[in-house]
Amino acid sequence: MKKGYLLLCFIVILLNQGIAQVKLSGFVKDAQSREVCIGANILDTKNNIGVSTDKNGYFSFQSKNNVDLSISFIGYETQNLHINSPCDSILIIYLKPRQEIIDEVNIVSQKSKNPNYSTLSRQQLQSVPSLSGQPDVMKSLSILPGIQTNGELSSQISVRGGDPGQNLYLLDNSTLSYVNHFAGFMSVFIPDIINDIKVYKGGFPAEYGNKLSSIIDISQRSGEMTAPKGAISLGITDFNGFIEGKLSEKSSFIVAGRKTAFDPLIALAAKQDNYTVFYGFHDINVKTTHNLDIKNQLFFNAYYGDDYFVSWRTSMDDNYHRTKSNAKNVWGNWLVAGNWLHSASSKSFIHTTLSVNQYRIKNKFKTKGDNEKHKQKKVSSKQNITLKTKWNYRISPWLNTISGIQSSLNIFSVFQKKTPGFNVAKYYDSGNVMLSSSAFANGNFDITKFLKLQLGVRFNHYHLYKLNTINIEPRLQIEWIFAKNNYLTFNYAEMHQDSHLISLPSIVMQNEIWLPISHRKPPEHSKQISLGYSRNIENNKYSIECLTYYKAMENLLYYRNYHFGNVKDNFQETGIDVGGKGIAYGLEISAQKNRGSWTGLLSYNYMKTTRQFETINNNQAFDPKYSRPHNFNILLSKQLNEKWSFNIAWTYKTGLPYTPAIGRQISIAPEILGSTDYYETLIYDDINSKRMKDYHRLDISANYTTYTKRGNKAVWTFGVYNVYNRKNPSFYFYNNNPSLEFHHSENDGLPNENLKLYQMSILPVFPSFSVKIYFDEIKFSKDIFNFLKYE
Amino acid sequence: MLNTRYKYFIGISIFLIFTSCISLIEDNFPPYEQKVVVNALINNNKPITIHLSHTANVRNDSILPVTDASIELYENSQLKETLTENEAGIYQSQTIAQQGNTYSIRVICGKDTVYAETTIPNQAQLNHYTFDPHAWLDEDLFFNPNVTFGLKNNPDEKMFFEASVIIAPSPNSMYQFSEYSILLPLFSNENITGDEIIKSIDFQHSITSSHAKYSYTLVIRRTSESYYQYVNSLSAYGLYRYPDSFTSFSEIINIYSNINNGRGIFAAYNEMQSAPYLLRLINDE
Repeated sequence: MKKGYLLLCFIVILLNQGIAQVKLSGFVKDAQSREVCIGANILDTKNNIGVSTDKNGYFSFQSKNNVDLSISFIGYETQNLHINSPCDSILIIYLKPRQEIIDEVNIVSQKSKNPNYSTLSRQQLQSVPSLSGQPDVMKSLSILPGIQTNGELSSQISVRGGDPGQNLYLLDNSTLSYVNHFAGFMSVFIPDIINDIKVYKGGFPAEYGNKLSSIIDISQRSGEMTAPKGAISLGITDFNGFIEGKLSEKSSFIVAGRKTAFDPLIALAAKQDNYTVFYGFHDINVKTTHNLDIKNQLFFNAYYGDDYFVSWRTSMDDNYHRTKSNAKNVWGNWLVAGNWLHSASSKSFIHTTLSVNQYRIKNKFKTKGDNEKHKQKKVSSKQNITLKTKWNYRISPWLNTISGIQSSLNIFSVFQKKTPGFNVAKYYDSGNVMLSSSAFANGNFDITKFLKLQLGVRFNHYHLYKLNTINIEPRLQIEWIFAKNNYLTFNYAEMHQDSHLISLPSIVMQNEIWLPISHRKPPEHSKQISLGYSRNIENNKYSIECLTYYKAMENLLYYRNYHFGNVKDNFQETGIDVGGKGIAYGLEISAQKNRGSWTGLLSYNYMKTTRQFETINNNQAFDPKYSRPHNFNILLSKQLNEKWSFNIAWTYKTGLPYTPAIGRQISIAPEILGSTDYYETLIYDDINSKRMKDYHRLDISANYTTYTKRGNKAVWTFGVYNVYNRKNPSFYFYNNNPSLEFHHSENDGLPNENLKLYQMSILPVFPSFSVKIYFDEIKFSKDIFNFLKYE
Repeated sequence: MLNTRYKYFIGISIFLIFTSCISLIEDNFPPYEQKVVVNALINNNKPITIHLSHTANVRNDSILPVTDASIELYENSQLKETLTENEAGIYQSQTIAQQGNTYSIRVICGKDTVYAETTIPNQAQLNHYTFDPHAWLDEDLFFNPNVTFGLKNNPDEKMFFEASVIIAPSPNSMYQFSEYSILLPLFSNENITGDEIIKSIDFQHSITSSHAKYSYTLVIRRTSESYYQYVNSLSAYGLYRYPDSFTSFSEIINIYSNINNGRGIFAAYNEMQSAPYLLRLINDE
């Protein structure tokens, strides 16, 4: 009792100390565009207290009532403010962009940072050479330590040995389910609208959950508070553009769109007398920002993007009845979201998000004949409506809390027919409507100036028909800043996942099916510990990071693509192995040069990951198909002058695993109509027990900035993908000739003779280009018109 | 009109991106330890036929049948007979397999002895079934059928099934052809707690001519678990064995085996058929 009383007194004294001081909070923004500055540094030079702005540009700290603030952000002029206020204050600080920033092409945080979190600024994104000649978010992320893409054409990523379905993609705080176009050739994010990308690979704050391996938090730009301006761009795969400007004195907008350029070429190439097909994709992003007053900001954003594969056929039957048919496969997602940022007081900030997202694969078929009409639609989808409220509250100078709630209503469907009168087969074993609710709290304790502790907890409740699951996720982060610019961190995090992803490469390109948890498929669960070190050198001219981690996962799924070529079942759960365990551990090292005419990044990543299922490989652990233990990346950028800049990227990865054949045997086919067949089959060794040849590739690009006859800025990008034409393996196969034309022993019972192992490589040396024309302010409509007319 | 240079650029670009390259990795494989391979899928009310062979190296060896083995057949642990070879590598019993019985074999082949066991399940009970010939359109925009059926379920027992549809010409059809069968997916009663298993399955049988008249017969096999595992693995095996640009990343599946000390399969099923369903096309109405 006495101890409890003493503790209470101690807390009251500490809180009173806090109350006696002044609380300063607010936003840091670009003076020109009103765009928030993420990662800007606010330093109280008198008391030597510093904080950084979060992804909303928000900061909050407590100090004495007479302070000198230094606000700095790379690429902007440092601003010094003297504040002598007897009471708490909310500030909006505008920073002026520097006029000459040629030697600073990258924007990175100025202080040592947690190596569990990787950031990619818009400038860095632009500097990574790509196959299409235009920046691609997902491909660019793969240069960061701990992140790797799965295949040459794949945008699916694996973070620290996790599965591709364990990554949460947030677009302005709202979940986006599907991020690929063209079987992973490109991702759905339009670079022009992106402000900043932050990837959490471990040490997850409690506000994030529902995915095991990473949180990819993408912040979109707000439109600039100017007259309308924008840009259009044309590359070898697509054309895109954006327009932004102010709607009113307090509101702005930005709209961006993208559309494939090669649809007609495919249609022409595929055209036959009575049949043709085409493929394409498109994306549209819209964001409006409304600064209601100093305490309230609203922004709304919407995204709509699809891939589509369409075919037409005209046929005539024996009675000369003509039938016109049309098949349309569409897959992609849309998102509508609203965000409200509210500074309740100088020590309290509330961020509320309401979002609706749907990912779906639609197969539509339509026929119209002389005597008949028929329509059919199959849909596989995942929809969610999410409400999230986050409350940032500074209790005292040494304690800042972030707490909140999140609730999502998820509706799943797997290839359900929408044909009238069809009795949909019951697929789900536990229903298809799930309510996921979470409550979270994070306390950031500044124990000393050099020692910080972050304690967090997240409670999750998943409810489906007759299934209720509750789990608790503890989070811990200890930060120690020593010897000026050295930063050491220890992290522990547990995560759960309320749905499972399986990819179906064989149905319509690379489609994804999400399955809700069930008794058979309980929530995936992971525990991760990590120890990281980072250091700034020469006032952040150089920075180095090093981190080691260990992650254990359970309740994993494995989908082995059981597929009957001539059968279209609703879905076949027989191919899903459940109850898997996984481990991943590794080492990530990176070094960056952040300023100067040359900038660059070197990263090395060692990652060992295995999976273990009772039903696979005799319950022995094996490497998953996307495991690549060694990854090495170099990215160098050189700003030669105001017109020319060059980028070079080299990547090396261990080859993907494959399962070797070790022998042949006779197998029996099930008896059909009284006939039994025997044919030759291969005997394979342990799953993924050998590796393909290592992967390496050099890409280069050059940007040339010039001006059109009308005075518009134009940037030409020329690139070469796979400069030295490395034949990297895509997959291995056994055949008796170097082609994908196989002799099927099961068709004729004849033996497979002279089998050899072959490698399939795709994407040899490949040139690319794109051009982007900027249109400034008032001249916009006139410029577009003139550009089309004269250029 | 597109500029000629631009057209060339597009043409070359598309050519390059889709130009793939195949190169040889290995043509000399290490030897593989020779094992006895047993292949037998036994049906209710039929004699037991067993195919025996040896495994072979990946590339060069011929796969040889086993001609001098001795196979002891046990029914419910009682020795019933010793099987003799009928033709190269094929051994057939005098015993007629009966549902509910457990059959085991002991194969002695030189120094090697292999064992296997299976039980013939009881016949499935088909409660109802319907065919819809015009249920869905395929990618080539032809109509295809669907079959929906209900089977009696016993939630306390693990039950495994295989369904297929026999397509035959109807008696008065002008268009005659040999009957053939389409295999539907295997399924089980896992997580089905009610007293009926209902399945609705689309299958591909493009209906292209208004003159043809077909009959559909639904065939339901209740199978042993090993049969279910084996046939599932066999279909998945084919998907990986013959990759294409879409399936290249499919997972390899080793064909399931329940043979102790050897390879192959010794499994059982019990088959029943529905009455034929006479298909009438839209233009026949």
